[in-house]
Amino acid sequence: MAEPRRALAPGATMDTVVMRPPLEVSEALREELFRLREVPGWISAAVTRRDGLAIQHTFGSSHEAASLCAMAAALVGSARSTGSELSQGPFSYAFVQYLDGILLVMEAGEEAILACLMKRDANLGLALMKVTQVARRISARLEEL
Amino acid sequence: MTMKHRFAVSEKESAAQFQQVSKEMLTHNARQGVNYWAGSDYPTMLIWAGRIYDFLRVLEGIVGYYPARMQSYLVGYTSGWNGAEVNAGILKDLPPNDGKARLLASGNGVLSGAGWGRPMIEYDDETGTVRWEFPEGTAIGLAALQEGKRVKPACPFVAGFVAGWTNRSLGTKIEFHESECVSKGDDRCVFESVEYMRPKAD
Repeated sequence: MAEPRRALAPGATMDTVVMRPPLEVSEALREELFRLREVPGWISAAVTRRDGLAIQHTFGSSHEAASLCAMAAALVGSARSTGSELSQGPFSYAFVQYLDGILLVMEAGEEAILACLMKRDANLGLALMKVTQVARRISARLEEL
Repeated sequence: MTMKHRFAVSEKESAAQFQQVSKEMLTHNARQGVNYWAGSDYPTMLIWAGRIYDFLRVLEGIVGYYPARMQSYLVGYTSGWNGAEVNAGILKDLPPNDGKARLLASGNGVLSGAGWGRPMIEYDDETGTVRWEFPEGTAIGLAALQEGKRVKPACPFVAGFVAGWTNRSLGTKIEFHESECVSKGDDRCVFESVEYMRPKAD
């Protein structure tokens, strides 16, 4: 029988692949995300690559942001696939309502996704307007790279 | 002193690595019917390369290429990191000044010996750039090609693996981009390091 001689630590290295944009762009993106504080009921937001790798966020921990970003990318990916299957054209945005909150995901240009977590009683009309504005500006900043 | 390193495995060395990596370093637990590699307590098994490709293919059919790519990449990343971790304990000839490059270099022998493909690794320690090239393609890329020519690369699992192996070896935080893939009709599979990669739109 094989005698284990060493234990590995799977998963301990996952966060080492998180990359950051140049500092100047990173700061600009963070500033844009914090503009969403103007939306009553706003909790937190993140901008992620289309593959789910976090670019910038306002969460307290990178772990929280990483989870949201991965799921937001999967959500948008599923929505895009569904739209394609149903011949409904390109994806625009999605609200997902839960018992305790609302998740809004929107494409921020062709290469990024903006995800915004809000309280259940958030003003959705205002949120959509602000998130759309911020998504456009984020798209423009990323285009500069 | 900075320098460019190039590590390659000849066909003869690949055959020798196969004997070592896929035979001598495997221990069979007959009671479990399970193999263990190099003393690691994680079970190791032989699996069709096409089934690794299926993780990407099935997932991209649901959530699209980019999220599917990243999930496959992250699984490969852990595998590569752990592989280098185990190998660091095996290599007893790591010189004090060249240990990182030596550990990086050992990746090509392990991969070819394990049947993943025969890579050549280039490492520029001045710029920090790393390039893994599989002149004959990776096993996963070749398996994907069996199912038809692809538009996007088929080997994010390997991209993640080489990223994990490289980062564990060199102490870096590099991401890898698959710039060429046999499944797309390219002659080879190539993985190149990038500081910060934005996947381009379709």
